[in-house]
Amino acid sequence: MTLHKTSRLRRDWQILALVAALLALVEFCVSSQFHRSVIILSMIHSVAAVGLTLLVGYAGQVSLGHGAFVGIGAYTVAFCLQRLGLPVVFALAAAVVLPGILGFLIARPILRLSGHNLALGTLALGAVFYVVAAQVRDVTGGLDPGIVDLPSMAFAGLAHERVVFWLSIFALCLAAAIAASIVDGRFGRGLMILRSSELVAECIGMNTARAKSMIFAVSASLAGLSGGLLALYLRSFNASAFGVGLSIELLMMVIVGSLSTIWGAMFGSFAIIVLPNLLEGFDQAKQVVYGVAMILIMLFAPNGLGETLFRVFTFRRKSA
Amino acid sequence: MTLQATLEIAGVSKSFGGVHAVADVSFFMARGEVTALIGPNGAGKTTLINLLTGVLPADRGTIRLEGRDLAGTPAYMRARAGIARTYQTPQMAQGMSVLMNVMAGAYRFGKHGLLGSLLRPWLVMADNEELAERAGTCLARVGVSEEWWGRPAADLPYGHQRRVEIARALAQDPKLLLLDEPAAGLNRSEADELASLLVSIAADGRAVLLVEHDMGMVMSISSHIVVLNFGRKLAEGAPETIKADKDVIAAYLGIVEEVA
Repeated sequence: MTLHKTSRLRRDWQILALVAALLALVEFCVSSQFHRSVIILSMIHSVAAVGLTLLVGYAGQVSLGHGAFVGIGAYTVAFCLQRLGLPVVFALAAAVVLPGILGFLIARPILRLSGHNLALGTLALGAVFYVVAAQVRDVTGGLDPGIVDLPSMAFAGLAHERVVFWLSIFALCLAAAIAASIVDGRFGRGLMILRSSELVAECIGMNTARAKSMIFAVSASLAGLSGGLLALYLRSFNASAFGVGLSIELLMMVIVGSLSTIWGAMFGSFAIIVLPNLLEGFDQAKQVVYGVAMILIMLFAPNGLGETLFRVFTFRRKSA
Repeated sequence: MTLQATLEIAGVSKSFGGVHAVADVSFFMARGEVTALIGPNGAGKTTLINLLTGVLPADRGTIRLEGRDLAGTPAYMRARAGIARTYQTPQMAQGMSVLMNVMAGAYRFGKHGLLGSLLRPWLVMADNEELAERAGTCLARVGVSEEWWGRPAADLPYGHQRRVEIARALAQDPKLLLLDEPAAGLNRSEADELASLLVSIAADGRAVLLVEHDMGMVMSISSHIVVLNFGRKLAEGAPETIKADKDVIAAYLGIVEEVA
Protein backbone atom coordinates (compact mmCIF):
# COMPACT_ATOMS: atom_id res chain seq x y z
CA MET A 1 0.00 0.00 0.00
CA THR A 2 2.74 2.46 0.87
CA LEU A 3 4.12 1.86 -2.60
CA HIS A 4 1.35 4.00 -3.97
CA LYS A 5 2.41 7.46 -2.97
CA THR A 6 0.91 7.39 0.47
CA SER A 7 4.43 8.09 1.62
CA ARG A 8 4.56 11.29 -0.42
CA LEU A 9 4.73 13.36 2.72
CA ARG A 10 7.69 11.35 3.99
CA ARG A 11 9.41 11.79 0.63
CA ASP A 12 8.77 15.53 0.71
CA TRP A 13 10.27 15.74 4.19
CA GLN A 14 13.36 13.99 2.85
CA ILE A 15 13.64 16.41 -0.04
CA LEU A 16 13.22 19.26 2.43
CA ALA A 17 16.08 17.98 4.58
CA LEU A 18 18.22 17.70 1.47
CA VAL A 19 17.37 21.22 0.32
CA ALA A 20 18.09 22.63 3.79
CA ALA A 21 21.46 20.88 3.95
CA LEU A 22 22.34 22.03 0.45
CA LEU A 23 21.46 25.66 1.20
CA ALA A 24 23.43 25.58 4.45
CA LEU A 25 26.41 24.23 2.55
CA VAL A 26 26.04 26.99 -0.03
CA GLU A 27 25.96 29.55 2.76
CA PHE A 28 29.33 28.34 4.02
CA CYS A 29 30.93 28.04 0.60
CA VAL A 30 29.83 31.07 -1.37
CA SER A 31 32.07 34.03 -0.78
CA SER A 32 31.22 36.30 -3.68
CA GLN A 33 28.95 39.13 -2.57
CA PHE A 34 27.15 39.04 -5.90
CA HIS A 35 26.44 35.30 -5.81
CA ARG A 36 25.27 35.66 -2.26
CA SER A 37 22.76 38.35 -3.17
CA VAL A 38 21.43 36.32 -6.12
CA ILE A 39 20.88 33.29 -3.90
CA ILE A 40 19.28 35.32 -1.11
CA LEU A 41 16.89 36.98 -3.56
CA SER A 42 16.07 33.60 -5.09
CA MET A 43 15.28 32.12 -1.70
CA ILE A 44 13.17 35.10 -0.66
CA HIS A 45 11.16 34.96 -3.88
CA SER A 46 10.87 31.19 -3.51
CA VAL A 47 8.92 31.65 -0.29
CA ALA A 48 6.24 33.56 -2.18
CA ALA A 49 6.48 31.28 -5.20
CA VAL A 50 5.91 28.17 -3.06
CA GLY A 51 2.74 29.78 -1.71
CA LEU A 52 1.65 30.76 -5.20
CA THR A 53 2.21 27.18 -6.38
CA LEU A 54 -0.40 26.09 -3.85
CA LEU A 55 -2.90 28.60 -5.20
CA VAL A 56 -2.17 28.40 -8.93
CA GLY A 57 -0.75 24.94 -9.35
CA TYR A 58 -2.83 22.97 -6.86
CA ALA A 59 -6.06 24.90 -6.49
CA GLY A 60 -6.00 26.17 -10.09
CA GLN A 61 -6.73 29.80 -9.16
CA VAL A 62 -4.52 32.26 -11.02
CA SER A 63 -3.32 35.35 -9.24
CA LEU A 64 -1.59 38.24 -10.95
CA GLY A 65 -1.71 40.31 -7.80
CA HIS A 66 0.44 38.56 -5.25
CA GLY A 67 3.06 41.29 -5.49
CA ALA A 68 0.62 43.26 -3.33
CA PHE A 69 0.88 40.76 -0.48
CA VAL A 70 4.67 40.81 -0.75
CA GLY A 71 4.42 44.57 -0.42
CA ILE A 72 2.07 44.40 2.55
CA GLY A 73 4.54 42.04 4.25
CA ALA A 74 7.44 44.39 3.55
CA TYR A 75 5.63 47.48 4.86
CA THR A 76 4.41 45.56 7.89
CA VAL A 77 7.98 44.67 8.83
CA ALA A 78 9.12 48.24 8.26
CA PHE A 79 6.25 49.60 10.36
CA CYS A 80 6.86 47.14 13.19
CA LEU A 81 10.57 47.82 13.32
CA GLN A 82 10.61 51.58 12.82
CA ARG A 83 7.38 52.79 14.41
CA LEU A 84 6.60 50.13 16.99
CA GLY A 85 10.16 49.13 17.77
CA LEU A 86 9.22 45.45 17.85
CA PRO A 87 11.84 42.68 17.64
CA VAL A 88 12.48 41.19 14.19
CA VAL A 89 10.74 37.92 15.02
CA PHE A 90 7.49 39.69 15.88
CA ALA A 91 7.78 41.90 12.83
CA LEU A 92 8.10 38.85 10.60
CA ALA A 93 5.22 37.13 12.37
CA ALA A 94 3.07 40.20 11.72
CA ALA A 95 4.17 40.09 8.08
CA VAL A 96 2.74 36.56 7.90
CA VAL A 97 -0.47 37.15 9.83
CA LEU A 98 -1.63 40.47 8.38
CA PRO A 99 -1.44 39.52 4.68
CA GLY A 100 -3.05 36.19 5.58
CA ILE A 101 -6.04 37.91 7.15
CA LEU A 102 -6.31 40.42 4.31
CA GLY A 103 -5.99 37.59 1.80
CA PHE A 104 -8.78 35.65 3.48
CA LEU A 105 -11.07 38.69 3.44
CA ILE A 106 -10.34 39.54 -0.19
CA ALA A 107 -10.53 35.92 -1.34
CA ARG A 108 -14.30 35.46 -1.00
CA PRO A 109 -15.29 38.25 -3.38
CA ILE A 110 -12.37 37.91 -5.79
CA LEU A 111 -12.51 34.12 -6.11
CA ARG A 112 -16.07 34.37 -7.36
CA LEU A 113 -14.24 35.17 -10.56
CA SER A 114 -12.47 32.47 -12.48
CA GLY A 115 -10.16 32.05 -15.44
CA HIS A 116 -9.33 35.25 -17.34
CA ASN A 117 -11.61 37.32 -15.14
CA LEU A 118 -9.79 36.17 -12.03
CA ALA A 119 -6.45 37.01 -13.65
CA LEU A 120 -7.74 40.51 -14.46
CA GLY A 121 -9.31 40.96 -11.03
CA THR A 122 -6.12 40.05 -9.21
CA LEU A 123 -4.10 42.17 -11.64
CA ALA A 124 -6.31 45.12 -10.70
CA LEU A 125 -5.80 44.29 -7.02
CA GLY A 126 -2.05 44.45 -7.50
CA ALA A 127 -2.27 47.69 -9.46
CA VAL A 128 -4.47 49.32 -6.80
CA PHE A 129 -2.03 48.30 -4.08
CA TYR A 130 0.82 49.94 -5.96
CA VAL A 131 -1.09 53.20 -6.30
CA VAL A 132 -2.14 53.17 -2.66
CA ALA A 133 1.37 52.32 -1.45
CA ALA A 134 2.78 55.16 -3.52
CA GLN A 135 0.22 57.62 -2.10
CA VAL A 136 -0.10 56.74 1.58
CA ARG A 137 3.14 58.49 2.43
CA ASP A 138 2.55 58.39 6.18
CA VAL A 139 3.15 54.66 6.30
CA THR A 140 5.09 53.86 3.15
CA GLY A 141 7.09 57.01 2.56
CA GLY A 142 5.61 57.11 -0.96
CA LEU A 143 7.92 56.57 -3.91
CA ASP A 144 10.51 58.99 -2.58
CA PRO A 145 12.06 58.38 -0.13
CA GLY A 146 10.00 55.24 0.53
CA ILE A 147 11.22 53.15 3.44
CA VAL A 148 14.81 53.90 4.31
CA ASP A 149 17.40 52.63 6.74
CA LEU A 150 15.82 49.63 8.33
CA PRO A 151 18.22 48.31 10.99
CA SER A 152 21.06 46.03 9.94
CA MET A 153 20.55 42.36 10.75
CA ALA A 154 24.18 41.94 11.75
CA PHE A 155 24.10 39.74 14.82
CA ALA A 156 26.64 38.00 17.02
CA GLY A 157 29.54 38.70 14.72
CA LEU A 158 27.69 37.62 11.57
CA ALA A 159 27.37 40.21 8.81
CA HIS A 160 23.94 41.47 7.65
CA GLU A 161 23.97 39.31 4.49
CA ARG A 162 24.85 36.16 6.39
CA VAL A 163 22.08 36.61 8.94
CA VAL A 164 19.56 37.27 6.17
CA PHE A 165 20.85 34.21 4.35
CA TRP A 166 20.13 32.01 7.38
CA LEU A 167 16.78 33.67 7.97
CA SER A 168 15.89 33.00 4.32
CA ILE A 169 16.90 29.34 4.56
CA PHE A 170 14.74 29.01 7.64
CA ALA A 171 11.76 30.78 6.04
CA LEU A 172 12.03 28.78 2.85
CA CYS A 173 12.14 25.49 4.72
CA LEU A 174 9.19 26.58 6.82
CA ALA A 175 7.25 27.52 3.68
CA ALA A 176 8.09 24.19 2.05
CA ALA A 177 7.15 22.23 5.17
CA ILE A 178 3.80 24.00 5.34
CA ALA A 179 3.18 23.48 1.64
CA ALA A 180 4.15 19.80 1.81
CA SER A 181 1.82 19.16 4.75
CA ILE A 182 -1.00 20.77 2.82
CA VAL A 183 -0.53 19.17 -0.59
CA ASP A 184 0.15 15.70 0.74
CA GLY A 185 -2.86 15.71 3.02
CA ARG A 186 -6.58 15.52 2.67
CA PHE A 187 -6.91 19.22 1.96
CA GLY A 188 -4.35 19.07 -0.85
CA ARG A 189 -6.12 16.17 -2.52
CA GLY A 190 -9.35 18.13 -2.27
CA LEU A 191 -7.65 21.09 -3.92
CA MET A 192 -6.42 18.93 -6.80
CA ILE A 193 -9.97 17.69 -7.34
CA LEU A 194 -11.15 21.28 -7.17
CA ARG A 195 -8.64 22.30 -9.83
CA SER A 196 -10.12 19.74 -12.23
CA SER A 197 -13.73 20.33 -11.29
CA GLU A 198 -15.38 22.42 -8.62
CA LEU A 199 -18.50 20.31 -9.03
CA VAL A 200 -16.69 17.09 -8.12
CA ALA A 201 -14.99 18.77 -5.17
CA GLU A 202 -18.36 19.90 -3.78
CA CYS A 203 -19.81 16.44 -4.32
CA ILE A 204 -17.08 14.73 -2.29
CA GLY A 205 -17.94 17.06 0.58
CA MET A 206 -15.49 19.93 0.20
CA ASN A 207 -16.71 23.42 0.95
CA THR A 208 -15.04 24.86 -2.13
CA ALA A 209 -15.70 28.54 -1.44
CA ARG A 210 -14.08 28.18 1.97
CA ALA A 211 -11.24 26.01 0.70
CA LYS A 212 -10.35 28.56 -1.96
CA SER A 213 -10.35 31.36 0.60
CA MET A 214 -8.14 29.34 2.93
CA ILE A 215 -5.55 28.53 0.29
CA PHE A 216 -5.61 32.13 -0.95
CA ALA A 217 -4.92 33.21 2.63
CA VAL A 218 -2.04 30.73 2.99
CA SER A 219 -0.47 31.91 -0.26
CA ALA A 220 -0.92 35.54 0.83
CA SER A 221 0.76 34.73 4.15
CA LEU A 222 3.76 33.21 2.45
CA ALA A 223 3.93 36.18 0.06
CA GLY A 224 3.89 38.39 3.15
CA LEU A 225 6.73 36.44 4.74
CA SER A 226 8.66 36.83 1.53
CA GLY A 227 8.02 40.58 1.58
CA GLY A 228 9.10 40.81 5.21
CA LEU A 229 12.41 39.14 4.41
CA LEU A 230 12.86 41.34 1.36
CA ALA A 231 12.42 44.41 3.55
CA LEU A 232 14.96 43.11 6.07
CA TYR A 233 17.44 42.33 3.30
CA LEU A 234 17.13 45.50 1.22
CA ARG A 235 16.68 47.85 4.23
CA SER A 236 15.54 50.57 1.83
CA PHE A 237 12.81 50.20 -0.78
CA ASN A 238 9.77 51.89 -2.24
CA ALA A 239 6.43 50.90 -3.75
CA SER A 240 7.90 50.35 -7.21
CA ALA A 241 9.36 47.07 -5.93
CA PHE A 242 5.85 45.66 -5.53
CA GLY A 243 4.22 46.59 -8.80
CA VAL A 244 2.56 44.41 -11.37
CA GLY A 245 6.02 43.40 -12.57
CA LEU A 246 6.68 41.51 -9.33
CA SER A 247 3.31 39.74 -9.51
CA ILE A 248 4.05 38.56 -13.02
CA GLU A 249 7.57 37.51 -12.06
CA LEU A 250 6.19 35.42 -9.18
CA LEU A 251 3.74 33.72 -11.53
CA MET A 252 6.57 33.10 -14.01
CA MET A 253 8.58 31.47 -11.24
CA VAL A 254 5.74 29.06 -10.60
CA ILE A 255 5.18 28.30 -14.26
CA VAL A 256 8.85 27.97 -15.11
CA GLY A 257 9.41 25.83 -12.03
CA SER A 258 6.45 23.49 -11.94
CA LEU A 259 2.72 23.69 -11.46
CA SER A 260 2.54 20.26 -9.92
CA THR A 261 5.23 20.16 -7.25
CA ILE A 262 6.15 22.70 -4.62
CA TRP A 263 9.85 22.10 -5.31
CA GLY A 264 9.58 23.55 -8.79
CA ALA A 265 8.99 26.99 -7.30
CA MET A 266 12.53 27.06 -5.89
CA PHE A 267 13.99 26.17 -9.25
CA GLY A 268 11.75 28.70 -10.99
CA SER A 269 12.72 31.51 -8.64
CA PHE A 270 16.39 30.83 -9.16
CA ALA A 271 15.92 30.76 -12.94
CA ILE A 272 13.91 33.99 -13.05
CA ILE A 273 16.35 35.84 -10.75
CA VAL A 274 19.50 34.55 -12.43
CA LEU A 275 18.41 34.73 -16.06
CA PRO A 276 18.45 38.54 -16.41
CA ASN A 277 21.95 38.57 -14.88
CA LEU A 278 23.18 35.90 -17.26
CA LEU A 279 21.79 37.90 -20.15
CA GLU A 280 23.74 41.08 -19.28
CA GLY A 281 26.12 40.23 -22.12
CA PHE A 282 23.37 40.62 -24.71
CA ASP A 283 23.08 44.25 -23.72
CA GLN A 284 20.28 45.80 -25.78
CA ALA A 285 18.93 42.47 -26.99
CA LYS A 286 18.49 41.36 -23.36
CA GLN A 287 14.71 41.68 -23.25
CA VAL A 288 14.36 39.87 -26.57
CA VAL A 289 16.53 36.96 -25.49
CA TYR A 290 14.66 36.81 -22.19
CA GLY A 291 11.36 36.65 -24.06
CA VAL A 292 12.60 33.98 -26.44
CA ALA A 293 13.92 31.93 -23.52
CA MET A 294 10.50 32.10 -21.87
CA ILE A 295 8.73 31.04 -25.06
CA LEU A 296 11.12 28.11 -25.51
CA ILE A 297 10.48 27.01 -21.95
CA MET A 298 6.71 27.18 -22.53
CA LEU A 299 7.04 25.22 -25.76
CA PHE A 300 9.38 22.48 -24.65
CA ALA A 301 8.68 22.28 -20.96
CA PRO A 302 5.01 23.13 -20.50
CA ASN A 303 5.01 21.32 -17.15
CA GLY A 304 7.75 23.60 -15.95
CA LEU A 305 11.46 23.56 -16.58
CA GLY A 306 12.23 22.16 -13.14
CA GLU A 307 9.88 19.24 -13.57
CA THR A 308 11.02 18.48 -17.12
CA LEU A 309 14.70 18.45 -16.15
CA PHE A 310 13.85 16.22 -13.21
CA ARG A 311 11.99 13.79 -15.50
CA VAL A 312 14.84 13.71 -18.03
CA PHE A 313 17.30 13.08 -15.23
CA THR A 314 15.35 10.25 -13.62
CA PHE A 315 14.56 8.73 -17.04
CA ARG A 316 18.25 8.62 -17.92
CA ARG A 317 19.09 7.03 -14.64
CA LYS A 318 16.43 4.38 -15.00
CA SER A 319 17.44 3.48 -18.54
CA ALA A 320 21.14 3.40 -17.68
CA MET B 1 -44.58 2.37 1.93
CA THR B 2 -43.63 -0.73 3.77
CA LEU B 3 -39.94 -0.25 3.16
CA GLN B 4 -38.16 2.50 4.97
CA ALA B 5 -37.68 5.39 2.53
CA THR B 6 -34.06 6.47 2.39
CA LEU B 7 -34.89 9.19 -0.07
CA GLU B 8 -38.20 10.88 -0.39
CA ILE B 9 -38.79 13.24 -3.27
CA ALA B 10 -42.06 15.17 -3.31
CA GLY B 11 -43.25 17.60 -5.95
CA VAL B 12 -39.75 18.61 -7.03
CA SER B 13 -39.60 21.11 -9.89
CA LYS B 14 -36.90 23.01 -11.70
CA SER B 15 -37.24 25.38 -14.64
CA PHE B 16 -34.58 27.01 -16.75
CA GLY B 17 -36.24 30.11 -18.16
CA GLY B 18 -39.45 28.80 -19.60
CA VAL B 19 -38.30 25.20 -19.87
CA HIS B 20 -39.60 22.84 -17.20
CA ALA B 21 -36.59 20.56 -16.90
CA VAL B 22 -38.10 18.74 -13.94
CA ALA B 23 -41.78 19.24 -13.15
CA ASP B 24 -43.55 18.02 -10.04
CA VAL B 25 -41.63 14.76 -9.67
CA SER B 26 -42.26 12.57 -6.65
CA PHE B 27 -41.00 9.11 -5.70
CA PHE B 28 -39.45 7.12 -2.89
CA MET B 29 -36.22 5.20 -2.79
CA ALA B 30 -35.57 2.40 -0.36
CA ARG B 31 -32.23 1.27 1.02
CA GLY B 32 -30.98 -2.02 -0.32
CA GLU B 33 -32.62 -1.46 -3.66
CA VAL B 34 -31.60 -0.30 -7.10
CA THR B 35 -34.05 2.28 -8.38
CA ALA B 36 -33.74 3.12 -12.06
CA LEU B 37 -34.50 6.51 -13.51
CA ILE B 38 -35.09 6.24 -17.23
CA GLY B 39 -36.43 8.39 -19.99
CA PRO B 40 -35.54 9.72 -23.43
CA ASN B 41 -32.66 12.17 -23.82
CA GLY B 42 -33.55 15.53 -22.32
CA ALA B 43 -36.16 14.04 -20.01
CA GLY B 44 -34.56 15.73 -17.00
CA LYS B 45 -32.66 12.81 -15.47
CA THR B 46 -29.34 14.57 -15.01
CA THR B 47 -31.12 17.70 -13.80
CA LEU B 48 -32.83 15.59 -11.17
CA ILE B 49 -29.45 14.22 -10.05
CA ASN B 50 -28.19 17.78 -9.78
CA LEU B 51 -31.21 18.69 -7.67
CA LEU B 52 -30.65 15.71 -5.38
CA THR B 53 -26.95 16.46 -4.90
CA GLY B 54 -27.68 20.13 -4.32
CA VAL B 55 -25.62 21.28 -7.27
CA LEU B 56 -28.77 23.05 -8.45
CA PRO B 57 -31.40 24.44 -6.07
CA ALA B 58 -34.91 23.13 -6.65
CA ASP B 59 -37.61 25.69 -7.42
CA ARG B 60 -40.25 23.73 -5.51
CA GLY B 61 -40.74 20.49 -3.70
CA THR B 62 -39.01 18.68 -0.87
CA ILE B 63 -36.16 16.20 -0.82
CA ARG B 64 -35.70 14.19 2.35
CA LEU B 65 -32.77 11.94 3.15
CA GLU B 66 -33.73 9.55 5.92
CA GLY B 67 -36.44 11.94 6.96
CA ARG B 68 -34.20 14.99 7.03
CA ASP B 69 -35.26 17.85 4.77
CA LEU B 70 -32.37 18.86 2.55
CA ALA B 71 -33.82 22.21 1.44
CA GLY B 72 -31.15 24.88 1.47
CA THR B 73 -28.40 22.37 2.25
CA PRO B 74 -25.40 23.05 -0.02
CA ALA B 75 -23.90 20.28 -2.14
CA TYR B 76 -20.91 19.70 0.12
CA MET B 77 -23.14 19.26 3.17
CA ARG B 78 -25.31 16.76 1.31
CA ALA B 79 -22.16 14.86 0.36
CA ARG B 80 -21.22 14.77 4.03
CA ALA B 81 -24.75 13.64 4.87
CA GLY B 82 -24.19 10.62 2.65
CA ILE B 83 -25.04 11.41 -0.98
CA ALA B 84 -22.43 10.38 -3.52
CA ARG B 85 -22.55 10.45 -7.31
CA THR B 86 -20.80 9.60 -10.53
CA TYR B 87 -20.87 11.59 -13.75
CA GLN B 88 -21.93 11.04 -17.34
CA THR B 89 -18.34 11.50 -18.45
CA PRO B 90 -15.85 10.25 -15.86
CA GLN B 91 -14.36 13.15 -13.90
CA MET B 92 -10.87 12.01 -13.05
CA ALA B 93 -8.76 14.78 -11.54
CA GLN B 94 -5.71 15.62 -13.65
CA GLY B 95 -2.32 14.89 -12.20
CA MET B 96 -3.62 12.52 -9.53
CA SER B 97 -3.07 8.81 -9.30
CA VAL B 98 -5.96 6.36 -9.20
CA LEU B 99 -5.48 5.79 -5.49
CA MET B 100 -5.29 9.52 -4.73
CA ASN B 101 -8.52 10.13 -6.63
CA VAL B 102 -10.29 7.56 -4.53
CA MET B 103 -8.63 8.82 -1.33
CA ALA B 104 -10.00 12.23 -2.21
CA GLY B 105 -13.44 10.61 -2.25
CA ALA B 106 -12.95 9.74 1.40
CA TYR B 107 -12.55 13.46 2.10
CA ARG B 108 -15.24 13.52 4.75
CA PHE B 109 -13.51 10.79 6.76
CA GLY B 110 -10.18 12.60 6.98
CA LYS B 111 -9.45 13.70 10.51
CA HIS B 112 -7.10 16.57 9.73
CA GLY B 113 -8.04 19.93 8.27
CA LEU B 114 -5.81 22.67 6.90
CA LEU B 115 -4.66 23.91 10.29
CA GLY B 116 -4.20 20.38 11.58
CA SER B 117 -1.94 19.54 8.69
CA LEU B 118 0.15 22.64 9.38
CA LEU B 119 0.61 22.02 13.06
CA ARG B 120 0.71 18.24 13.28
CA PRO B 121 2.05 16.73 10.06
CA TRP B 122 2.43 13.30 11.66
CA LEU B 123 -1.37 13.15 11.93
CA VAL B 124 -1.50 13.66 8.18
CA MET B 125 0.68 10.60 7.68
CA ALA B 126 -1.43 8.39 9.92
CA ASP B 127 -4.60 9.75 8.36
CA ASN B 128 -3.26 9.18 4.85
CA GLU B 129 -2.55 5.57 5.63
CA GLU B 130 -6.05 5.05 6.91
CA LEU B 131 -7.63 6.77 3.92
CA ALA B 132 -5.41 4.81 1.53
CA GLU B 133 -6.57 1.62 3.20
CA ARG B 134 -10.18 2.63 2.72
CA ALA B 135 -9.54 3.67 -0.89
CA GLY B 136 -7.74 0.40 -1.60
CA THR B 137 -10.69 -1.60 -0.31
CA CYS B 138 -13.06 0.34 -2.57
CA LEU B 139 -10.80 -0.09 -5.61
CA ALA B 140 -10.48 -3.81 -5.01
CA ARG B 141 -14.23 -4.04 -4.74
CA VAL B 142 -14.89 -2.40 -8.12
CA GLY B 143 -12.27 -4.67 -9.66
CA VAL B 144 -9.40 -2.26 -10.31
CA SER B 145 -6.31 -4.29 -9.51
CA GLU B 146 -3.38 -2.92 -7.58
CA GLU B 147 -1.12 -2.51 -10.61
CA TRP B 148 -3.30 0.44 -11.70
CA TRP B 149 -3.36 2.30 -8.41
CA GLY B 150 -0.21 4.33 -8.91
CA ARG B 151 -1.04 5.42 -12.45
CA PRO B 152 -2.43 8.83 -13.40
CA ALA B 153 -6.20 8.30 -13.29
CA ALA B 154 -6.87 10.43 -16.34
CA ASP B 155 -4.72 8.09 -18.48
CA LEU B 156 -6.77 5.00 -17.66
CA PRO B 157 -8.96 3.27 -20.22
CA TYR B 158 -12.52 4.52 -20.19
CA GLY B 159 -14.01 1.43 -18.58
CA HIS B 160 -11.49 1.65 -15.77
CA GLN B 161 -12.20 5.33 -15.21
CA ARG B 162 -15.86 4.45 -14.71
CA ARG B 163 -14.90 1.91 -12.07
CA VAL B 164 -12.51 4.30 -10.34
CA GLU B 165 -15.32 6.82 -10.23
CA ILE B 166 -17.61 4.33 -8.55
CA ALA B 167 -14.80 3.51 -6.12
CA ARG B 168 -14.43 7.21 -5.35
CA ALA B 169 -18.16 7.42 -4.64
CA LEU B 170 -17.98 4.29 -2.47
CA ALA B 171 -15.12 5.82 -0.52
CA GLN B 172 -17.68 8.38 0.64
CA ASP B 173 -19.59 5.46 2.21
CA PRO B 174 -22.85 6.89 0.87
CA LYS B 175 -26.37 6.16 2.00
CA LEU B 176 -27.53 7.20 -1.42
CA LEU B 177 -25.49 6.56 -4.56
CA LEU B 178 -26.46 8.32 -7.78
CA LEU B 179 -25.04 6.87 -10.98
CA ASP B 180 -25.36 8.91 -14.17
CA GLU B 181 -25.22 6.46 -17.08
CA PRO B 182 -22.49 4.23 -15.65
CA ALA B 183 -22.73 1.69 -18.48
CA ALA B 184 -22.26 4.21 -21.31
CA GLY B 185 -19.27 3.18 -23.40
CA LEU B 186 -18.87 -0.20 -21.72
CA ASN B 187 -18.93 -3.46 -23.68
CA ARG B 188 -21.33 -6.26 -22.82
CA SER B 189 -19.14 -8.14 -20.37
CA GLU B 190 -18.07 -4.93 -18.62
CA ALA B 191 -21.72 -3.90 -18.36
CA ASP B 192 -22.59 -7.28 -16.85
CA GLU B 193 -19.84 -6.94 -14.26
CA LEU B 194 -21.10 -3.44 -13.49
CA ALA B 195 -24.63 -4.79 -13.03
CA SER B 196 -23.57 -7.31 -10.42
CA LEU B 197 -21.41 -4.69 -8.71
CA LEU B 198 -24.41 -2.38 -8.40
CA VAL B 199 -26.53 -5.17 -6.98
CA SER B 200 -23.88 -5.88 -4.35
CA ILE B 201 -23.56 -2.18 -3.51
CA ALA B 202 -27.30 -2.00 -2.93
CA ALA B 203 -27.04 -5.16 -0.83
CA ASP B 204 -24.77 -3.19 1.55
CA GLY B 205 -27.92 -1.38 2.56
CA ARG B 206 -27.46 1.65 0.33
CA ALA B 207 -30.06 3.19 -1.92
CA VAL B 208 -28.82 3.19 -5.50
CA LEU B 209 -30.28 5.45 -8.17
CA LEU B 210 -29.37 4.27 -11.65
CA VAL B 211 -29.79 6.60 -14.61
CA GLU B 212 -29.21 4.39 -17.60
CA HIS B 213 -30.11 3.79 -21.23
CA ASP B 214 -29.04 0.14 -21.20
CA MET B 215 -32.52 -1.36 -20.79
CA GLY B 216 -31.22 -4.88 -20.36
CA MET B 217 -29.32 -3.76 -17.27
CA VAL B 218 -32.14 -1.59 -15.99
CA MET B 219 -34.73 -4.34 -16.28
CA SER B 220 -32.53 -7.02 -14.74
CA ILE B 221 -31.28 -5.24 -11.61
CA SER B 222 -33.84 -2.61 -10.62
CA SER B 223 -36.55 -3.24 -8.10
CA HIS B 224 -38.31 -0.09 -9.04
CA ILE B 225 -38.31 2.08 -12.17
CA VAL B 226 -39.25 5.74 -12.53
CA VAL B 227 -39.81 7.00 -16.06
CA LEU B 228 -39.38 10.68 -16.88
CA ASN B 229 -40.49 12.39 -20.06
CA PHE B 230 -40.20 16.13 -20.67
CA GLY B 231 -39.43 16.59 -17.00
CA ARG B 232 -42.60 14.87 -15.79
CA LYS B 233 -43.00 11.49 -14.23
CA LEU B 234 -44.58 9.35 -16.90
CA ALA B 235 -44.78 6.07 -15.07
CA GLU B 236 -43.43 4.27 -12.03
CA GLY B 237 -43.38 0.65 -10.97
CA ALA B 238 -41.74 -2.72 -11.13
CA PRO B 239 -39.83 -3.63 -14.32
CA GLU B 240 -42.66 -5.84 -15.63
CA THR B 241 -45.19 -3.04 -15.21
CA ILE B 242 -42.94 -0.55 -16.99
CA LYS B 243 -42.20 -2.90 -19.87
CA ALA B 244 -45.92 -3.23 -20.56
CA ASP B 245 -46.78 0.44 -20.07
CA LYS B 246 -48.19 1.97 -23.27
CA ASP B 247 -47.15 5.52 -22.42
CA VAL B 248 -43.59 4.43 -21.83
CA ILE B 249 -43.42 2.56 -25.10
CA ALA B 250 -44.86 5.56 -26.88
CA ALA B 251 -42.32 7.91 -25.28
CA TYR B 252 -39.44 5.72 -26.33
CA LEU B 253 -40.62 4.72 -29.79
CA GLY B 254 -42.66 7.76 -30.67
CA ILE B 255 -46.45 7.79 -30.74
CA VAL B 256 -47.54 4.60 -32.41
CA GLU B 257 -51.06 4.42 -33.79
CA GLU B 258 -52.92 1.37 -32.70
CA VAL B 259 -52.73 -1.09 -35.58
CA ALA B 260 -55.38 -3.71 -35.89
